[in-house]
Amino acid sequence: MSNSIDELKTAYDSVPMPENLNVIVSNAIKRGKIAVRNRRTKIGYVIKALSAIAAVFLVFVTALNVSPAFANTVEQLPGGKIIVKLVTVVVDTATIDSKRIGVQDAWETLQENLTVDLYQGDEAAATAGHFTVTKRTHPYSIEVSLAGVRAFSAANALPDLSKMRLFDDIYRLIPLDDSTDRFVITFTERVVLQYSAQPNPARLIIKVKDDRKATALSPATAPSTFPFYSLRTSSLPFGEEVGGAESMMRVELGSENARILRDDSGLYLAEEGLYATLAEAEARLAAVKQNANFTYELHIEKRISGATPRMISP
Amino acid sequence: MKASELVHSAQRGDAEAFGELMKACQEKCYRIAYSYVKNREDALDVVGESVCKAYVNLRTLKNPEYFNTWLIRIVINEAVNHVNKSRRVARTASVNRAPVQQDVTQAIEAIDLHEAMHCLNQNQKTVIILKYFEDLPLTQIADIMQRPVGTVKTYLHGALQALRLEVKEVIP
Repeated sequence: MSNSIDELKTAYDSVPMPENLNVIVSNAIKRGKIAVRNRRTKIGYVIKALSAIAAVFLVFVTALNVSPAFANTVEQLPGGKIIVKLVTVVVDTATIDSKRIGVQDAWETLQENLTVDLYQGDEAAATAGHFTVTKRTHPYSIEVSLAGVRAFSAANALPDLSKMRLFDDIYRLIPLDDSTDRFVITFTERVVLQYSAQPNPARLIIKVKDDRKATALSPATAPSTFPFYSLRTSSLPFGEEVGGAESMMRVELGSENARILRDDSGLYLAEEGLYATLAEAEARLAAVKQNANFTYELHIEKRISGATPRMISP
Repeated sequence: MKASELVHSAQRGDAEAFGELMKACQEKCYRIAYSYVKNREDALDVVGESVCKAYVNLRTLKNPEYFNTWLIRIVINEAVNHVNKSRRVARTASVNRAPVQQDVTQAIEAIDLHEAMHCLNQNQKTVIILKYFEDLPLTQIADIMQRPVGTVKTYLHGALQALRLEVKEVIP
């Protein structure tokens, strides 16, 4: 057997080498070089094409998120609504942020922003329309009335204000009429307020800063810590009854400052007014009871500035 | 320059270094290819294709010391593919292939044994070529065939048995 293998090996080793073996190998190396170059070029093209596609996509997504006008235009195109919905980053129906400014001051000022999206039906409203902001104290709050806007985002998905230090609560009020919506934002302390409206889509931007620096520099302007007396209804669920009480206070009692507040249990109350002393409040209550057209029972509640009203059972 | 240094240079794109490497082993590649396809032109095709593939994929070779093993593996795979492709073509066309041109005129005395190699399957043939013709150790053959050494031994045992049987039939 070994001899046979040896014979085979002899035959194997005796295979004559073709004269053009060198040429074949050289040509193969040349073909290899070309293949490597082509592969690199191909990879380069693919990378460039992918980069270009990614860049265009990035610009498109950024434009949709930054420019509401562009987003509206895209939405008009067939299938545009789906595209906009897919690529638009929606953090919440209302966005909030806070930051500290003036770190060199002894009174470091806290600034917080709240953005409220406005809707007309299910669609984002294009413009905020006419709106009024009424500042209130005890507690520090603003009441925003929006004309021509049927809903605001917080009605369906209230923003989480738990991490905010200056914003305390946001809640909707019973509308005064069919074309006006109202909501209240309460603050944890006295604030310096700035607000503005932004179109396409309609947004209210509310910026607040704490007022501690002004208070510290001018103690005379500091909020009163004395108690006061609120003439109010008992706590009622959100609905017509509390809205009706507020309207009656304005119409029948001539109380221009009548308002609706939310108490510490989440129920609502209509407040006729605030009085510096108990005697003043009792006198006003007695006067109200004389008005036969006003059928709501009122209570006197003692509060201090900035405190949330307590729940009073009917 | 050492072979491993040449491989490093070639991996960095030095075609001349790759040419040097090929000069050292192109004849071995041709012999291996020839022993599968048994045809000068086909063997040259196999070598050309293998060299091209080796150049293109040289960067994937992690250990330069295994360049020879790696190259032989490419040549064997290419040769086996070539043989299989030729068989498919022959079957499809239903045409008998022309008798293989025998360049091994110097090995006439071994022609029967050479033909006896035809009865071996590809794995058995590979083991015989690498073990007895190229004098490679079983571990390296196992690397080339990407099989365990035990399996290679089994192939070898089967090949020797088949050859003995075949030789018995051919040589009374």
